[in-house]
Amino acid sequence: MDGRLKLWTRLFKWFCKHEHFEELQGDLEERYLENLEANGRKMANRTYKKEIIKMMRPSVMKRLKVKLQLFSMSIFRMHLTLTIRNMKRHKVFSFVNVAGLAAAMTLCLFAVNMIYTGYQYDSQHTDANRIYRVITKVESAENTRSFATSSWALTQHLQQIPQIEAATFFLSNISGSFDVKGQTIRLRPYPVDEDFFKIFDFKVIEGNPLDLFNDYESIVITNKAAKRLFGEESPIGKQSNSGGIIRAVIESPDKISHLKFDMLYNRGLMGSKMSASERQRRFYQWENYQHDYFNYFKLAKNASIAEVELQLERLSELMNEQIADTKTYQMEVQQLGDIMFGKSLLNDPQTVQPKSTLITLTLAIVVLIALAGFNYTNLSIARSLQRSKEIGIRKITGSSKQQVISQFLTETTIFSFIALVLALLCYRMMLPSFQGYVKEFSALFSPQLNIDMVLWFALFSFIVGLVAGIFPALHFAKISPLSAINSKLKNNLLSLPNLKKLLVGFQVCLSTFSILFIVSIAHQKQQILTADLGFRTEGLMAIPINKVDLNLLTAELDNIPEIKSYTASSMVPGTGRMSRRFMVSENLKDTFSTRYGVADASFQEVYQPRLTLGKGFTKGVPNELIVDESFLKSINQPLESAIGVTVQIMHWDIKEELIIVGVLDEFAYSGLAGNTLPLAIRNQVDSLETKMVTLSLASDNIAGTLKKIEDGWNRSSIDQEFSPLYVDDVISKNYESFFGMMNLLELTGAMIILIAVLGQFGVALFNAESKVKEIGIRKVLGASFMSLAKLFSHNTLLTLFISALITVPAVYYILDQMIIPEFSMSLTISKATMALGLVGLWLAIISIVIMQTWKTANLNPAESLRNE
Amino acid sequence: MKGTYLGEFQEIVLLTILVLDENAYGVSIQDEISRRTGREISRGALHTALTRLDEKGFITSQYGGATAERGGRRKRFYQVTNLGKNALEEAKSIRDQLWNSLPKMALQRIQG
Repeated sequence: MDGRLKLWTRLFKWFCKHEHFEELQGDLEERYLENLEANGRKMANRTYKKEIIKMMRPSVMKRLKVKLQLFSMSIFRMHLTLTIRNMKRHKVFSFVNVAGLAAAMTLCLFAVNMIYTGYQYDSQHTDANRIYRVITKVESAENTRSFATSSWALTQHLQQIPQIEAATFFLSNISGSFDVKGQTIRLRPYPVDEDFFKIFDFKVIEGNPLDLFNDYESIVITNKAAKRLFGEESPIGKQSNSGGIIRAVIESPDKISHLKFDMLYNRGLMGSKMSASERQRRFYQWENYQHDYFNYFKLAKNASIAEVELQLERLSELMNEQIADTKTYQMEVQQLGDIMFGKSLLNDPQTVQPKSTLITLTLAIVVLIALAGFNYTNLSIARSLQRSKEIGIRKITGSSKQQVISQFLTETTIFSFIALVLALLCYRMMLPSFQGYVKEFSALFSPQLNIDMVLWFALFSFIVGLVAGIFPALHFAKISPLSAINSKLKNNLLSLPNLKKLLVGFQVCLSTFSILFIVSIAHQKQQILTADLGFRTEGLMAIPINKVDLNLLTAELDNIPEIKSYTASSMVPGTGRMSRRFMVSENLKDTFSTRYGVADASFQEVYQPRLTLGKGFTKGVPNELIVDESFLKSINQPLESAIGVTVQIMHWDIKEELIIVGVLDEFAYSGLAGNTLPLAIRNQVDSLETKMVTLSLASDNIAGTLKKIEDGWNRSSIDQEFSPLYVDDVISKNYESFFGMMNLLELTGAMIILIAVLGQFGVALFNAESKVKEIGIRKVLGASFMSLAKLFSHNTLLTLFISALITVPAVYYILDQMIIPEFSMSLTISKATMALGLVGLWLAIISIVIMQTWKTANLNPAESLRNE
Repeated sequence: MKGTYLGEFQEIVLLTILVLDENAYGVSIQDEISRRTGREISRGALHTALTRLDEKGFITSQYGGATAERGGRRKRFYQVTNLGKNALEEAKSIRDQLWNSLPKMALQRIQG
């Protein structure tokens, strides 16, 4: 039996009546083994846990006497009254606790929402537990890589396996488009076969999706795509640019499935256009496993997945035989439910988040809640003298241990429910900005709350209450009534004051870490946005030309005096969007793949790329090429003699000879370090490749110039939308996915600091209050405010200092090793910014302590010393 | 009379035990019910029904031999007592009476 189930078995043994345990446990175990054989481990484990949960019924459970007493109604009512009185009397204490918890919970609600949404992925398909994907593991001498994709050739083999009820195959990364009102809207289609609908269930909104397979012209689009394209109009019968006719509308997979498509069409269409040899090459060869080819299948009822795995092993051998290179290929199955938050695989659709995301989210929840819980514990300890008298009296009047514990737990649970209400309000308010803030994860996030989720939240806050209260509760329950009333608490190593110091220290460490992290990230962001990419970016404006005739447009642009120069190119440099070509070196020895773009001769004038060597493009010479240094390395060409060297470019079947006329100096293909392919830009205007016109504007009157350009645009186009973009903006958009992650971390950090400062505030307040007499005596004896402030902030300073010693190297290490390598430009860690952040936090905390001391010190000692 | 009343699910369990004859224990009863009625029931729910039937004296049980697949635990086999059989027959006769006294029209589907 699975080790992880031991705990469940023990739980069952604990609550089950002794006389029934042997029979029931035996039955459960027999059922488990049966399930293991038939449905695999995951399913069997899940059923086993479900069965045990369903065992919690009166006929099975022991009578739990203690528990019943613990939740007696009248005692609960009394605890409620006590809590309300306590809250009224100690407003600051309650405020600090509730505010801290609410801040933590707000963020946790977002995290819980994301985890919940993630786990709901792909649960709408019938028999989702019988759906599997085939993934490919490739072992080579250097590494092992796992792909979410598998060969096209696998498809027909899968269909012949008797244990498989349906097997489907589709491709991604194909594009389709619709022209609506002069605008071209791109869609992501999947070419699918009939089995696609046998495996996946998407609600049908209109029409019959199976009409797809009557001919090659039919297409199906999603409801979201339909809305984007046609608004409220019925899309049935409308035509796409390539002639597809819409037959049906289905539910969009957004946020409910890891699949990512807007449109489906008949996969038969692809085969119908291919020559026999191409069909042979693409359909029946195993080599193409790492493209965007996906195989899914549905296991037949009562069939065992182990048998399919056996078959796949046989097919893997076939694959190895056919490819016959140094790598080993192994096809494996992955259950549909394991895709989200599962192994991190290459080529997975963007919607799929790996397990690390789940861990990050859970970690954020745990840390935030723990910190808010610390606040409660700390403040309870700070008040412990007062509190222990209260508990002492309760014990003398006959309260049992359980009742004291339950009083504390009631108190914290009520705190946490109030915090939950506040958190839900904050959640509502932050919702719109949050979605924009964490762009990368927005697929994981559903803005509407459903009943299920709210219940989860409520359960969550209940648990939070229990966790935050359990420590003080256990402590106070142990107090002996006499010692509590008579004397101070004993001082051993694990005593309350020591524990408090530990918790405060931990909190301060974390908040120091957070503030350093936040300021460094902010600094890095600034650096990234202003980094030198090897060309000019500021003051440039790019216009996507869509379907406008380039000659007409340039004729208009020539007439506008405010435009200094302009260039037509295939890309905006720095954003990573470039196509790929194969190139062959002069001596025909090396063939290699490069990033490839085209631009006309004014490219240099507009973007001003730095050239280490050569003059660059000459107007009207289309076979010129500028390249980067890694390009020269691939053709084994020393830098000095690079100018004038020729290479051959292959456009599928056409070969052309090109001459290198310039070498780029640290030209960033993309701000984010992607793979480091060589790069080449060609002096050419190509009706297919050229997609952008970039303008360099001379005038200060941008608005006026824009108006002129728009007029020119309108004259040269028919109903096309004019959508100019600043090059700076386009480039910074490229970093969004990374910034999304950073933003999430920043938000968590800000909450951590808020909670810690709140906690510090509470502790400082109670420290000062409990020392009213001491301060009074000191003042009477002649102490100045300065010496008092020094005395009281001494400990805090020490804590801050130690925490800085621990955290500064940690932050430095994380930035240096984990974040900076993500980018292709060189970034530095600014010591000044870090110091500034540190000093800021220190000042905040110290000033809180001094302020409280000031308040207490200003009391008249005659007043504070008067009564005992 | 509340004590001898036979619920619908309890009736199914009793009948299933009779169908299984010698081999009626937890897992087999569960499987048989799900096979015949298409209803997935949890072992816990079945336990409750069996306890009720036992309290009413409709079934008895005894332990069988230990088996390895159950971690060495014994199976508990159930048998229907005469009292149980009587209750089943009574339930059936009540139903039959009701069926017999149905007017013919009552079962005709309304044509739409």
